[in-house]
Order: sequence, then structure tokens, then C-alpha cells
Amino acid sequence: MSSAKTRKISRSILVAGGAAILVGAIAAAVNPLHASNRSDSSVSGHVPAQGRQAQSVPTRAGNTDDYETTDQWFTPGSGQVLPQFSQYANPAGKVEILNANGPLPTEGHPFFTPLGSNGRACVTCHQPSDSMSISAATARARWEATQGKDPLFAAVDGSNCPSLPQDDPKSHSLLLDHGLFRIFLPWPPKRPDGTRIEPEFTLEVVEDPTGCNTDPKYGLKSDNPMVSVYRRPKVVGNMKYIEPHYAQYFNLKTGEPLAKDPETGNRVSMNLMADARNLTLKSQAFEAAVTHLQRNGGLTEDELSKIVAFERQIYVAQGEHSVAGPLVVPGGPNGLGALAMLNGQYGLGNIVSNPVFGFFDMWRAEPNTTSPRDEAAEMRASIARGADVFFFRPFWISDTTGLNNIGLGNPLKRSCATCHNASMTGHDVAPGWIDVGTQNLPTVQRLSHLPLFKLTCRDDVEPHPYLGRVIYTHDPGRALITGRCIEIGAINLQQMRGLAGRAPYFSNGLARDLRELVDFYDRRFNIGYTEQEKQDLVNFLSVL
Amino acid sequence: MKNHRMISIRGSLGVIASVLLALFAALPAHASDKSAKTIAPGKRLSFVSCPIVRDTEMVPCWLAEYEGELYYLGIQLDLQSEFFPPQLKHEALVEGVVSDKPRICGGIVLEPVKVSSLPEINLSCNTILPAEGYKIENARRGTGPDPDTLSARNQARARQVEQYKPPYTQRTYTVYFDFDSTYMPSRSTRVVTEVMRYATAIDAKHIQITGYRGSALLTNGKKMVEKASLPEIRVKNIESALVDLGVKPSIISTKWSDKPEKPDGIDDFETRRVVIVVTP
Repeated sequence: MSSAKTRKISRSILVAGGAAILVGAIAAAVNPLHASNRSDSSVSGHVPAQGRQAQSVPTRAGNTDDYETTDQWFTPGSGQVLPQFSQYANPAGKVEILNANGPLPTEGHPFFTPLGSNGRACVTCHQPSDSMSISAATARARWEATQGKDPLFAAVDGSNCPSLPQDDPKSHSLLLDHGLFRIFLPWPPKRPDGTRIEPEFTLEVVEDPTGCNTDPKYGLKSDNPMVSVYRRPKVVGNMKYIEPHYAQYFNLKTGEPLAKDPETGNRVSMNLMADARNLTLKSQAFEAAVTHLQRNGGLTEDELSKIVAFERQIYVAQGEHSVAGPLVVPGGPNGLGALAMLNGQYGLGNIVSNPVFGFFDMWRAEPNTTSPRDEAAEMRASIARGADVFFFRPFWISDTTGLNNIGLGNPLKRSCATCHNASMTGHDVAPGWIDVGTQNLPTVQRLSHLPLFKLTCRDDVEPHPYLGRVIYTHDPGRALITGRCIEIGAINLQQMRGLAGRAPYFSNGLARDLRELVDFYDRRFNIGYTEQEKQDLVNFLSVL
Repeated sequence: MKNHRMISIRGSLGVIASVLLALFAALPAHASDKSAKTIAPGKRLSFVSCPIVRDTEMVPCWLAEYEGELYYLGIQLDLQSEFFPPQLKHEALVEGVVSDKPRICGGIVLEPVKVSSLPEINLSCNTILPAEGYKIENARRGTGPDPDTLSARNQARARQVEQYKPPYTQRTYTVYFDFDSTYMPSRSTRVVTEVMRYATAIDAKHIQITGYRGSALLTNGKKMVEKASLPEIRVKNIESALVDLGVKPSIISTKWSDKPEKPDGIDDFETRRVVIVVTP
């Protein structure tokens, strides 16, 4: 991956149909979950309905013969070898991808092979160059490179709504401008066994800029009622920190037992997805194949096991900073770089002796004031200060469901690391769905590009602790899975590794860059960061 | 039913509570409100009011005002603490005993004290006081990350799994709830876990889960009654949790009453409870 040259990919991607025409839907007559050698217990109850919609969405036929690939883009089905260790440039420097099991020839590997009808593979939206996620900038570059023909822009969820004209970039504005994919979920929600959950609230569409929630074929009043929200892809990597459950039995957020892997009976972290709807990598991969890849019939056990094994062997972290220089150096911080992710230990990192992202003391030295200025040393000192701000700087955390209402008090005076508490990754071990205010009004300003829902909770249920019983939200989050009023707008905290390569941030792409992310928190919690603190925090976040 | 006290919840929780209470007692009072009227130590108070948080050094402290007097409830710590702070934007039901300890954070110390954050929103509950010279010192934890002592203590607790030896006896466990709440914080789920451990270790023949509908007699004479639906929800949540933890459903019996318990203004928090009896 060291060469900058581009090359043609001659390999065709197997997609349904011939040239650039739309392939008709197979739709309701198809059982999207039929597959051999697969255990049904890995399929969540919401997936069959998703499968029906996915199969009803036309796919764009064609092949990738004309698509250019570059060092920065891993084309599905290209057969490229994923090295054991690779670095990819991003706006802050370089991100490292460590493939712990050694070089991987991706020929035929299910993570890298189009498995469905739209030409996508898992790698389409989990690009090594983008910290195993995908940035909005990459999506834009891909649109330019392929004139919008890349399977990345599949109508099913790579456009604002499948019913829109797919050749028009405006129909893909949420992906191109905000890095968002459509997540369509059955409404009312379903239990893992597929039975209907009676939600504690009604859901009305107030604004529908994409048209998908009111669409007669894909919307809430369709034959297969579906709510559409728009979210960023999470990082596929560092799973040894994401998968384990920290608490022995109970979920702090709900006071209920942590969910179990239906196949093994073992408890799970519930931290894999933004809304925790899939409990294991296996069930997540299954749903992703049915929805994102438009696979008709799910995945085989062999495909699932290979995908899960790959996801468990990938480690992601920034390895180089454009000003500070290499981040993995003798005597340097112990928590930076992909190798540190491989060697680190899962646990609670909100502890003085075990800081979330390790120690930065060696960089805390005063920068050299002699001429010429040592910019690298100054940047390293800034990064160390940012680590201190993240770990120690207290502020009032208020009105945050999943934190303030579970016995800690509202407000709670703590630091970033209170919620971002998992060793090495900075997600929340609890598990971590909280309403930090990125989705619900008025903590987030109305976002005109996203759908706006009005949720009205029944009088006989516990209200949302800070917003009451009538809530306007762009994404009900966990409540779309449980139907609970108290969980409206709650989204799982995601890991903080490889941030520099995967803007924008938050599940709805609210922050275009790290500075906007810091500014959001500063406004949201009225922190009063100084300009120096903000810049230090940005620099710190850019090296994770 | 209020005499049916918890008899088996002991060990670490009690120790922690004692340590905390001792710590609170040791906290210096850096100011006192000389103008406030004298409240007799030992007097029980039950009232609903907006909680107040004071931005004291080290950690915030929590207060509540009642009839013109400021009462100290506790300090911000963490989920291992016996005291869970209330919430702004919500009124709190405060049930406590006036102590003779020096004021803390400017408030008369209520000890012991139970504080329930009431579910409905009240936006007028929004007072954050400045420190005004008050300080909290020697708290187990400040506003930053956990000190290592806390981590070590948690690990020690995790190792404190009781070993049960015959002859096995009937044990009674009680889970208390905040007023009008079904949420079980970690101190409650620890009780449920203990029930599971005991029941499975002794191969219990029967578990009876009984839910009661709480009420509270306030100092001003008013009476508060919990929602009628809560006892059933609490019982079913605990039953479901026990089954999920591995207890055989066939040995569990449940019942609940929507008739409110009779409050008397003394430890009324004990009326909002679920009692679990494990029979060998």
C-alpha cells in the first residue's frame, strides 16, 4: 500500500443483471433469511422486515471495470492483499492498521467480497484508509472518481431514499455531505423473537427532507412499515475492547440483566452498535449482509465465521501525526499506535493508575523556546495537555439520560473520561447508550437535512427524565429498538480510535471535524474551555 | 410489613455505609448559618422540595431546603456509594433524621437520609449554588477519575462471594425503590444477584417474590402514594432477572398488592419494596 499510483480494477463485481439498468425487486416472494448452514438464533427479530425492504430496492447493475482504485480505496473483490501492517494518510497524519494474523489475501474472503446483489462488500464502508469506517470526504472522492456509480452509493441506504433519482448527487447528499447511511428499522419494533413490541410512545414524522419516512413504498405507512434514520458506520477493529462485558450480570443503564448471545448464552457488552440492536459480531454481520449488501438469504456459517475472525484480528490507531511526528517511539506514550491496541488490556480506564489512553507525561515538558522553534515538541506538549483536559478537567455534565439519572445525580461534575471510560478505546463499558443531546431538540439545533420526529410518550410510563413526554428528535436511537420513552435519543458511545481518518463525528455526523466536536461539548455542557484547551483537546483526539 | 426488615443484606454494603457516614461526619464545617432556627436532633423530616447542588471544592454537595432551612443530604461520589444524589429538573422526596453533627455545606445534616428523585420534570428545580467558602475534604473521590483505592475496593468486593454452608435456612431479601420508580440501581441488582447465588447454591425449593405499594407521610401531614402499577412491574422485573440469571422459573411465585402501605413518617422508604424469600 506504499505506492501512490492508481490502477484499474479489471475484476468484475458480481451484481445482478447486466449493464447500467436497474434490476427489479424480488421483494416479498423471497425469504431473505434463507441460507444453508446457518443458525437462526443469530438473526435478530428486526432483520426479516429489513430484508423484505432491502430486497424490494432495485440494485444498480454493472461492474467495476471502469472504477479506479487507489492506495486509499480498497475495492471489493479486487483480491488485494491486506498487509499485516499498513499505514494510510489522513488529515492529521497516518492511521495504522494492524492485521494481527498476518497478511491476508482477500481473494474470496467474505469481508472483502461482494456477497449481495448491489456489489458492495463489508470493506466498502469499512475502509482501512478511513480507520475501518468511511469518511464523508472519501465518499465525495469516490463519487467523483466513479460518477456516482460505485456500489457505495447503492440506493438501498447509500442514498437519502431509494425512491429518489439515483444519478443525482443531491439524492446522496447525506452520504456525500455528512457520511450518513440510511438505517431502516421496522416500526413498531420487534423483540429478538420477532414479536411486536408495543412502544411507550407514538411516532409522528414532522419533517421528512429525504422523503423516506413518508414514502409509500419505504416509509412508515408502507406495507412493511419502516422508520428511516441516518447514521455513520462504526469502526471495525479493536474488538477485543468492544466485545467484552464489564459488569458481571447487570446493565447499569437499565437495571436489567445484560443481554446474552443467543447462541452461546454468554453475556455481551451491548456496545457493538449505536442502538445495540445486534448483540454479536455475527448477528451484526448477518444484518449488514441483508441490508447494506442486499444479500438475499443471509450468510452461511462459514462466511460469518470468517468475517468475525477478521474483525477480531484488526487493530486500528493513529500512528503518525503530521506535526508531532511518529507517535510510536521508544519512551513515548504507551497507548498510541495499533501495536499498543494489540497489546493493551481491556478494562476500566477511568482510573488514575490506568488512564484511558495511557500516559503522556513524557510529552508534558515545556516546549523548546529557543530558535528555531521545535514545532513537533510544541505539538507533543499540546497533545499531553489535551490528554489532561480529557482525563481530569471537570465540568458539569447535565441532563444526560443514561448517566445523570442512574444514581450519579444531575448535574454531575466530572470529566470526559467519566463516560469515555473504556481502556484504550474510550467507549463506555456500562454499556454506553446515553442521550448526550446530539439527536434530541433542543440540545441539538434543528438539522434541516435530517428527518424530524415528534414522539409522544404515554401518561402511564416514566417520562424521559429531561425532556418529558413530548420529544422532538432526529433519531430516537435505542428507543427504536426497545420502544421505551426513557431511551429516546440514546445512542451508544463509540470508540475514539482512528478519529482523524473518519470525519464527521457522532452517529449523525453532527460534527464536521474535531474542532466542531469539541465545540459541541463546550456548548452542550457550558464548559467554558479556553481556546488553548480546545486546541489541546483537538490535538489529543487527532492522535488516538 | 415495615417490621420485616432486611435481614440478609450485610457485609460490604453495611461496611461502606459506615465508612461513608464516618467520613461525612469527619468533614469540617467551614461555615454555619447562625440565623437559622434550631432543629432538634433526632427529629424526622419528610418533605418534597427542589434539590440544590453546591459547587464545592473537591466534589459538589447536595442540599434541600425545607421551611426556610437548608439541609445537607450528601456529596457526589459514585455508584458504589450509599447516597445517590438527586437531580435538578426534578423534585426530590427527602426522608431523613436531623443529626447533631456540625453543618456541612451550610446545611443541617440529615442522617440517615433517603432521597428519591421524583419522575416528573419540574424545571424550577435548577439551583446551583457557588461554593461560598464551603469545602468538602477527604471525600473518597473527587471530580476526576477513580483513585486506585476505589478500584482495589471494588475488586475486593468482587471476591467477597459468600460461601453457603448447611444447614440452609430460609432467607429474606429486600429490594428498596425510589418513590414511583422501577429502576434498580447497582445496589439493588446486587441484592438480586445475591438471591440468585443463594437460591442456586442451595438448590432452593421455592422463591416467593412479593411487591408492596409504597406511601409516605410528609412532615406537613400530606400523604404520598405510589402509582398502583408499580408493585407488579417491580416484581416481574425481579422475577425476569432471576430467571435470566439462571433461577428455575418453576420455583418462583409472585404476588403484589396495589393497596398502599400505611405510612407513619418513620422510615417510610421501607414501604416501597419487594421482598424475596428463599426457602431451601
